[in-house]
Amino acid sequence: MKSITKHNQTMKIKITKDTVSPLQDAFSVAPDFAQKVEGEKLLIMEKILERMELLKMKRKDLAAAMEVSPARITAMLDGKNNFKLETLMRAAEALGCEFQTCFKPKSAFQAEMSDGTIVQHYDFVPNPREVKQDKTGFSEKTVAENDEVDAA
Amino acid sequence: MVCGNLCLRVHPQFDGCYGKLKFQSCQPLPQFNLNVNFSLKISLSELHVGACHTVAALSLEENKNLESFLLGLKKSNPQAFKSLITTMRTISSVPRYRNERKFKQVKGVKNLYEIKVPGVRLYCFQETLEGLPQPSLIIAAYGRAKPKSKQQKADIFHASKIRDDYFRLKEQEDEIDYKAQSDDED
Repeated sequence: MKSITKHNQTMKIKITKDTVSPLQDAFSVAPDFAQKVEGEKLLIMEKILERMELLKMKRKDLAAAMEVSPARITAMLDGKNNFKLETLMRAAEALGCEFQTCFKPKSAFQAEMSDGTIVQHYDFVPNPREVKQDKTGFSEKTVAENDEVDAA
Repeated sequence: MVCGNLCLRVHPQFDGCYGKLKFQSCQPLPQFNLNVNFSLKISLSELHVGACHTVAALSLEENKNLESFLLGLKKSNPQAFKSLITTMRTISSVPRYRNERKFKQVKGVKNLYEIKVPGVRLYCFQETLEGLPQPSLIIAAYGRAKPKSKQQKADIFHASKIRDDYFRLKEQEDEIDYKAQSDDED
């Protein structure tokens, strides 16, 4: 068991690590797909609520602007609503916003430029068949070329 | 004849209340108070570290009621348990969560909030503890499945009591036991 004791103005906080309780264990499980979807819905609603607060707009005003019932807005707030693209675009219009989509790769591909700077590419993933490796004992040729060599 | 007040502090597992024995006589003798304090301990278990807040579960003097409730919920209603985790993660990811259908302050009670998931209410309060990587804490104090209106009032009272006990013990204790989630850092 590792523990660190930190002093603050009035008391000590003894921070203990590496002794995970069953409760902490239950909460540390990575979210499944359904949880990720629910989380995204809640975050979308949070963005809508933030914008509504800025515009001093009430729920019924948003419902009227989106041409939906107030109950629909309540369902959206509960995270029960499965957003259609049309609903999201209506919400954006009602809030005076533009709707944008973003697909961000989970892990970025890094490339080292000739001047030594590291550039992160989010837009493409290299085709493994085109990547040449050297000085590692692996073949320097692509798989396609290897196939030709094997065939010969 | 003995005259005065005897205030005996009872173990917090016995509802955290104070027993009070009072002896009085007809003679106006000076009163005295005798407080007997047991060793009391505050323990916080880190559940999730978000971008803006950390969610932790409170345990006063090894009282495992909240832990039992949450672990029981995981078995009895896994869907609600998962939804609770998702809501906690979302709440802790923003500076001020605005969706009152999921997280709101209990009406008329200062610094007591409820996380609402279908069939579940988790009462918590906010706290700031300097010295932690993320000093802004949301401390879960008490939970209940499917509360009815009468139960809800009792639950709010109970949760407020736990919150008050925490702040009172914090003044008395010189140390808080904080169980962080295990990571690679040393």
